[in-house]
Amino acid sequence: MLNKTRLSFVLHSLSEPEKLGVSAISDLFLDTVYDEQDYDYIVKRLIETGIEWDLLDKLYRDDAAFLLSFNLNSVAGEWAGFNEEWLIDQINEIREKRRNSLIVRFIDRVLIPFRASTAKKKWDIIRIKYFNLVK
Amino acid sequence: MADKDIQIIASSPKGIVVEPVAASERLITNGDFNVLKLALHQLSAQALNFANMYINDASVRYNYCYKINKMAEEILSDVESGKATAKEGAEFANQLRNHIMEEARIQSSTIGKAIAQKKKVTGRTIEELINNKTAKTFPGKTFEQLTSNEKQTIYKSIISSSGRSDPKFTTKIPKWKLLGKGCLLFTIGITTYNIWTSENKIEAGLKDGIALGGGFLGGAIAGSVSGLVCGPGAPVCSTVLFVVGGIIGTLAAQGATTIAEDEIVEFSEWLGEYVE
Repeated sequence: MLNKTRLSFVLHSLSEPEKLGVSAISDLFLDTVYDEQDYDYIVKRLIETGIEWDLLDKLYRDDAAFLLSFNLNSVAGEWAGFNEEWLIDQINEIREKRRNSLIVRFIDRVLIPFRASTAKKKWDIIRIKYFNLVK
Repeated sequence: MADKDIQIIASSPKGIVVEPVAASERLITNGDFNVLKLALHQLSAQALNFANMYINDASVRYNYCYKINKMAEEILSDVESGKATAKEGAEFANQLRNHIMEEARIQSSTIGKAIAQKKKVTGRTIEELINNKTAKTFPGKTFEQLTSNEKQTIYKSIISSSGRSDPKFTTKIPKWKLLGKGCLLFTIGITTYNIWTSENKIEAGLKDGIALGGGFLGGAIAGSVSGLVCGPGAPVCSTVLFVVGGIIGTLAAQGATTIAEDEIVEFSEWLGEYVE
């Protein structure tokens, strides 16, 4: 059975906690080597946003991975981190396009699983660490 | 029987029954065969262009990883030996890695370059990088609150991370090279088959070489003007242009071989081939 919550898009502009969430998640798409400290820092920032895991997962899949997966397949990807202002503008633009067009929502829904798979292993580590701390 | 051929209409252990058929009724006519040959030429020219793209990107990534690693090692050793302060080292490492990154993107394939341009990625500034590293390494403190030693740790950590790249991506290099070589092998296979099955092998070799060269040149020209035609950051347009460039190049080269048919025949005769 299809999970309708997972398939529906969040279409409003990023709220303040969501901005902090995508900023933390964006650090998973860098052309660099990750260690425990990097993962712990991302999890800490995600918990501080106060956002439920399901919404964090949507932020990862529908927004961050959709926008940033290309960086993990780039010959020379961004390494230091993404500028927050740029990141927020880009995601709000993506959400606006989805808000205005059914076709865009359909195409994006098809593309999301492929793009989300680029950092899936790292996201799984985050999920395990998140639930260990939240318990 | 000049324009007629035979067609097998039945077969039995005793033999086969054949009857003559007109050229227009043959299952594969000369026209079909030419279309098939043209399609094979196009396919092998495209494979050659993609082979070039994969092999190029693989070597660009390899050089990129090597350069940034070497750069970070040298800067760190200069800082350790006192030739530069840690702060200067961190700033220089940040600038240099970004410079090497841009250089690698320029050298990468048209398609890869277009994707990077489309996103217009803005990275963190050195100040943002310092604040991020501070929050990660010394939670609850700002950079200004750090001791001199702690600040050195942050600077050195920036230098070290400027030399690191995603190992998961780098492990794809051999696969890219393999894919590139596969495409190259495909081109060689098709070309060899074309020449092998031709009556006049030198002539066929010359024609295939010209067609492949045309396709390669077409792809290269399309790649170099994609920024001008598609504008910056148009990966779909760049890919289409790259493929169409290869097709036009092959067609143009094949057109040229038709026009210069006599010269090619004469040249292959001069090379020692007997042409009827």
